[in-house]
Amino acid sequence: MSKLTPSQFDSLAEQLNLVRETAMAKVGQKDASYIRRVITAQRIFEWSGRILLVLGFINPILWLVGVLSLAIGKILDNMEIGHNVMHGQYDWMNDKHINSKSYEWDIACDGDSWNRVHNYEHHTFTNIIGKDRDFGYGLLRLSNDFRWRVKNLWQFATYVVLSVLFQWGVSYHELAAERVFFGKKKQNRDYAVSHNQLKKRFFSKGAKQLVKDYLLFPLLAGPFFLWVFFGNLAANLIRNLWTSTIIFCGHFTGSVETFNEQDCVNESKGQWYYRQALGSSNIKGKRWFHILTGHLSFQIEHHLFPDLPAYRYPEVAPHVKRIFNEFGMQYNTGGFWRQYASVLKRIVRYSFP
Amino acid sequence: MTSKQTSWMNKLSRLVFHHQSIKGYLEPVIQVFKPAWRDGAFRAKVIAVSELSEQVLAVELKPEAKWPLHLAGQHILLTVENNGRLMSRTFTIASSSEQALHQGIIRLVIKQNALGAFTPALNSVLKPNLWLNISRPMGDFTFDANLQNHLFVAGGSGITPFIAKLHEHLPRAKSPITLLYFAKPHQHLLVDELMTLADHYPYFNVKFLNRVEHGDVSGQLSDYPNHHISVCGPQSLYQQVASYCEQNDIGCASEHFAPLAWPSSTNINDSDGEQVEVKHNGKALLVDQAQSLLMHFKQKGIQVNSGCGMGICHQCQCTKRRGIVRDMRTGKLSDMGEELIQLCISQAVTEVELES
Ligand code: FES
Repeated sequence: MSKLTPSQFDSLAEQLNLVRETAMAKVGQKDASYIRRVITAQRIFEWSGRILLVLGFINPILWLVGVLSLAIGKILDNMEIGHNVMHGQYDWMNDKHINSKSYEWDIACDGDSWNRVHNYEHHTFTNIIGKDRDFGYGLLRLSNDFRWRVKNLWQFATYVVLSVLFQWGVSYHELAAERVFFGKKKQNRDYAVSHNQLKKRFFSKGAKQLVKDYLLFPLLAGPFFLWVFFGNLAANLIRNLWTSTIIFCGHFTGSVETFNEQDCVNESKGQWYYRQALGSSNIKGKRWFHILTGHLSFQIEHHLFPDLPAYRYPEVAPHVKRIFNEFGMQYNTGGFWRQYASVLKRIVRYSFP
Repeated sequence: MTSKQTSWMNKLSRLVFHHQSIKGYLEPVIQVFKPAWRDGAFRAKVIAVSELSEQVLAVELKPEAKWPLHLAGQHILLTVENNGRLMSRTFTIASSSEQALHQGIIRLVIKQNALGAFTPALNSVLKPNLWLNISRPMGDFTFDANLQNHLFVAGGSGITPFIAKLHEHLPRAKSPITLLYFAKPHQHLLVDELMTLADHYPYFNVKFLNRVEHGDVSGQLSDYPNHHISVCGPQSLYQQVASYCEQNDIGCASEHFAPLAWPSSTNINDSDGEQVEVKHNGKALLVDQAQSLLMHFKQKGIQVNSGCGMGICHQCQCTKRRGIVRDMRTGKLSDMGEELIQLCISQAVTEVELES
């Protein structure tokens, strides 16, 4: 990671810090009202969805609309609300229900576990092979940093399965990496949380999800048990595919770079910014699209400024782009299909040695 | 709702909505119809705001109907949204419960601290018809009408509980009530109102005092033997009254505020100077401003969660109950009240109380 000189790194840090501070200074009522509006919309989508599922017996179209509505509700909850609130973007509001400490989301993954793996490991050690367990999720080989194994031959199928079950993948992620159930326990790991606790939280959050979506609500619907059961299944599937696709587009497009552990010893803030920048890619789209991605379509800005309220990313993006240009750094962006194709290509490419 | 119902609902809420409370889950939706509707707080509407004198505001509030009536002398926690941020402070109600009962109105008298983060903001935030939040009335600094001969000792804005008690009890008073009111020269609050009361009620007597001309409170107290003393004001005033009472073996009701001093410009700029006390989950330690709170905790072997050490991951987050911290990245000082902070990028500027 020596493409810039130390003084260039410093100047990069200075300029990006300035962008952050300027944007942060504007954060206020508008942002608070925005997130409350999104939460309100989420509640409306979720509950209209759940009601429409039952009304499917009148006309199956209603069921379909219900599935979509519920899926949108879940997507808003996971992306624009959950992900961003749990990043602490709205902690300054001092609202006891909208902050990174108390928020739990509608997904199988336990919020605290996600906070550890995602907020800490992934955001701190972004794309450092061996430290960022999000890189390929320990399942996919996405760069030459990993030795090729036979199982990589069918990793495209693994990818499809991962996408379909994405919420469970995210949920199981920390446990897998910690070898809680299978595999050799790693030595010298500094366990912040005991394995028993991880197991307990995994099962309790996971079980709640199952009970809720596949037992409680279907039972409440009485004779329409199956309508609701399959409606929830479909909505969860849509949510899983959507989130996994967006996240893969943010990190695993063809031109995203990886780093090794030595790169980040005594890393300066400028170098950290640099690594964040080259470890992420953006997706172009309309406003509704950005909201549904939780503004992870601005993955670059998100990685530079993870605690800036996400809907301000479009506002800072032009400045970030200008600064990247100035330092000759690539600002990786493109339309959805282009980025997605690039991801699929990368998965296929590294299936082979 | 009974508390049993509520706890049952909240259990359901945790299962179905992943929210600690059902009210929390619904809050933003209900706020669309009822501004400032908030889980765990009462709503109140601002009726009028007036400036009593320079930097002293009188705020009239109309609490929602289900707010439990206060007793004169009690205080509430006032929460307002200032540019998207919820801020809370405690204020004593400076009006009688009769007024609250008959007109539905309570009054707060707020002395603004130019350097603070909360009170100066109130000028622009508090506008008639704004909805805000208040807590249920709290505190037991109330009036015992069965006792004879009351001596009230007030200091500065410590006048507020007494003005409430006077309004409430003077009409029925059967023995003298005397008020010794200390403040800096010409900075007494509610002077006209107190004078009117004194004119109107022969049992009531008020003296406006300041330390420069009249000396300490201890010199005054001996003029009032056989009085039941209540005191409200700054720590120093309270201590003098309390030690007088102890020496003379008389009881003394008190409400004293020990607000954390807003830091002077010297300890704001000092990077290695004085040490301040930090309480973490009840345990106290001394820290300086040379490094982050997280570093101090680690050095002293105090177990706290942490991760990146650079303000990104929020692993080190904990709740600051009170005190001022500095964001080491920007140098910005925090508000004094309760909020979430990240230990790895915060330094203690005043005494700080933390919980994680
Ligand atoms: S340790 Fe990561 S934010 Fe403090």
